[in-house]
Amino acid sequence: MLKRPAFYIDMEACTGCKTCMIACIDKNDLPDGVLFRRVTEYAGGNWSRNANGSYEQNVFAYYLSISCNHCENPICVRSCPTTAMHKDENGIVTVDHDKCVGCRYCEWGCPYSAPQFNAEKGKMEKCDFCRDYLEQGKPPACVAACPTRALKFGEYEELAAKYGADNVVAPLPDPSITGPNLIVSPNRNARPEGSRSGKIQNPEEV
Amino acid sequence: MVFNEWSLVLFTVLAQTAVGMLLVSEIARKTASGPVGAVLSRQLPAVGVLTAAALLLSLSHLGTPLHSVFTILNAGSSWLSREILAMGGFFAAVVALAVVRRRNPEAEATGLAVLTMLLGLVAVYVMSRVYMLVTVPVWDSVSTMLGFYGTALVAGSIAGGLLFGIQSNRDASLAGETRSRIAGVFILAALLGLGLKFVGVPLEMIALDSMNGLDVSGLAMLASDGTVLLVARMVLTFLGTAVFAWAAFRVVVSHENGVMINAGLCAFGLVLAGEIMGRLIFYGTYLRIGM
Repeated sequence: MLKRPAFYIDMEACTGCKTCMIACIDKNDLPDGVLFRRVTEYAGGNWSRNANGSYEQNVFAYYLSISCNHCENPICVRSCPTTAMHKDENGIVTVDHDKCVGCRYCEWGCPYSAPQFNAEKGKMEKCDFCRDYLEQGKPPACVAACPTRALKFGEYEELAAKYGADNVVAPLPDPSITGPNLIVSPNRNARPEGSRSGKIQNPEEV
Repeated sequence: MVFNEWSLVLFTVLAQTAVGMLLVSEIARKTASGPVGAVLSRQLPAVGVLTAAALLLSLSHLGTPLHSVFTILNAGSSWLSREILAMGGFFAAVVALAVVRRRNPEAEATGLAVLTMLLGLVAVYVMSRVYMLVTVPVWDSVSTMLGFYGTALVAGSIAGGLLFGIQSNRDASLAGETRSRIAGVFILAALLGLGLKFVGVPLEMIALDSMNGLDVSGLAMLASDGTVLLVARMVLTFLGTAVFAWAAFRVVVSHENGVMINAGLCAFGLVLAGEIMGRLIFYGTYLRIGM
């Protein structure tokens, strides 16, 4: 098992096909409206006037496949009134269903929409990093399914050493809030964190 | 705008009303120049009933209410745990104070009364902090706290003042001077609460100006059909407080009690409508950073 499990996204390779999302739904047998992994489309652009009076557009778009980042300082764990939300011995942020009261307070706080409410169970659910697969030595379902190998997983330090730790692009939130175990190789069009140049284009999908 | 938090709207408004009623009625009791007799005797039981109703209503927000006993386990870091503990502590103190006063109606029980008031103040503070999440900039503002304390004082003094109007109407033995002083405390508390709410309005507008990843701000959410609601809720609360202050002022100057009941009922209805509308807007403009 990993000590500090992390996900890595190569945004340049991601085509936004959402196979990871589907593989996750399939693996976890998720009901409608519950998603442990979401592929967000972030896009924007405008017309700009050239010196000669002609106009040019700078339309851009890119994808971010995000699940739970099993943060170092998870706001869901901090806020959970019951201690049902906790970080287990393998660094995986987990919901203990024997304690969860279904108050959805973790959902209010998490800037990655990781905790999801399952109305049938009246409890919160989330990505568990495919713990069972890891124990069998297999990769998480989303990583295994990615057709472009844009999604990887591993030990945070190793991924950070290989790809660099401080790439935060819009619309990801300031990482100092929760310390996400997420490594990103930015797309050539990626806008910096906090940028207002684009917006999430598929809210009904994520 | 999505209005799906009715249980939390009612829980917060009723709980704050109960806290305000307790604070104002205890201050009125201390301020009264002579013996108050039984004229404030129904305040504590009413506070207890309101708090119990609020706590029961909050259960309907939960997906698995049977697990609610676990919600106090994370008081070390969760403001929600602290809220439940604070409200529970306030309720226990109200019940204890009510029992003491019932056994001996002359008992002041000042120590217990002060403790209950402090627990009430703490409960509203903690309740505000629950919403002041770093990832929810529309709520993470001092306006949340001003709004909550404002609701406590406005709705609490009008509910308490109405009850006082009903009880004092039946009690001809109450000295005019005492009557005036008690009514005066209720007026001042309601006006202070209204002041807090209105100081909070510009700060709330600043907080509502923050945006999420969809490039939508809280103000934009309110821009279409919400503007009417936003204005209506302020007008309702203002009108309710004005009607109440006018009626209670009649008691202060002419010791004339009758008007307190009808006007008090009317004022309470207006303020309750305004506060519930305001709280629906509060939950309806939930907006979080990130994705």
